Amino acid sequence: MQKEAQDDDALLRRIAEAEGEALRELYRKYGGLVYGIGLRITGDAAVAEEVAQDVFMSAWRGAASYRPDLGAVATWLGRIARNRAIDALRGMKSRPMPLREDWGELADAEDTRSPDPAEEAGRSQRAKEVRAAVAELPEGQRTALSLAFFKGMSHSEIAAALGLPLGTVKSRIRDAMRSLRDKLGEGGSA
Amino acid sequence: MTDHEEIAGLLTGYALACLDSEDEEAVREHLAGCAECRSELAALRLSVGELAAAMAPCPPPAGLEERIMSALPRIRARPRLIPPFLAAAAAILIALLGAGNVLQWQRSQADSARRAAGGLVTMALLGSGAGSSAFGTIVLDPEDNEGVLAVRGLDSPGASGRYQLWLVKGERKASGGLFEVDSHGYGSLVLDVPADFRGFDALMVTLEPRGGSASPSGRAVMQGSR
Ligand SMILES: [Zn+2]
Repeated sequence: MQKEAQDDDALLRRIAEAEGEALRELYRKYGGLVYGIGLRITGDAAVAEEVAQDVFMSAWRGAASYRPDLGAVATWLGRIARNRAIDALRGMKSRPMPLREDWGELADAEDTRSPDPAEEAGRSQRAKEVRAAVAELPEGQRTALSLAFFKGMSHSEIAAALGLPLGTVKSRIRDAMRSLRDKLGEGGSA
Repeated sequence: MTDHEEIAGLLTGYALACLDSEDEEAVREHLAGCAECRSELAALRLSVGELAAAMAPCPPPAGLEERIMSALPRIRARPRLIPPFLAAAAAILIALLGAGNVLQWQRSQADSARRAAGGLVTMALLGSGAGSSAFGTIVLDPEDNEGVLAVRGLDSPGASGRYQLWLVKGERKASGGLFEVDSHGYGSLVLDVPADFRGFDALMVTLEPRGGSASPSGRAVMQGSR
């Protein structure tokens, strides 16, 4: 695990030095993750491809700003990919159907294999911990968090969709994130 | 004006990019002046990344890798050997630039921007903008395949920036590569001219992020034409 983080850190430094082959290695390792995030959030293969292209171009430009002390490369790429996918989703004329995705379903779909077995092995343990922590959230919190995370819905949109007071939605999302952090700790892979 | 406690309660939404716009604006303003909230936000963003990274991967379509690779700016991955005839020319140029006789150098360049010297072609680049004292020259082989650029008088691009040379042909621009400058303001670069840019019309230099850009994003800091 430690070695994994060192390898990734070295990879990002090579990308920061504008070495194209290093970006290819990054893609081969995390392309499945990034594309998967784009696909699950937007529900559209073509849009997911555009999202992935954007994410790797951002990685190419922003590799120098990657800080290993602020999380693993998968986490860094994952957040960029999720945010790009949400932007793309907001820009789509017809949004995909209301919430079908949940981390619970994702956990069930775990037999979806990454193209690279090493990638899967390196990440799956942490991913399992995260999914387990999400699954333990009270249902109300998990639903509100899912709508924000997968659909990019604002607090007031979620309140309207669930028929809840705005303050309740805000505190559910906040409490959900707080308890995830408590369970998962600050670090990446301990 | 904004209450730290109130903003702290909105940081989760901010990290998830799901705040309503007026809240988002309030958080952004507050963050500028509150280190505690900035560090809290960094931790929350990490959690968002963890949630994203926990999603199951999906095999991407077959052509995506090549599409991503071919979209990269054309930039040399590693320094390479300079052909001997260009290395000699570059050494002379750098000595000339270092001689400090700027006026004489500029005058000689001004006579003709393009001079054949032993089959090599030189072009001058001058800093754009009133305050700029940057100048430089590029030596190209007769076939326009490769060249050496030497510049002087540019400010440091900073740790996160690089200068990027651009070849301009008609409306099109292609990257000629990235370079840094040393503490004395000197920089140099070995250039491969892409086949479809032989006989280019002009050159320009811009300041770009460290990894370079696919097209110029800033204003030219240096320019030169044939
Ligand atoms: Zn604060």
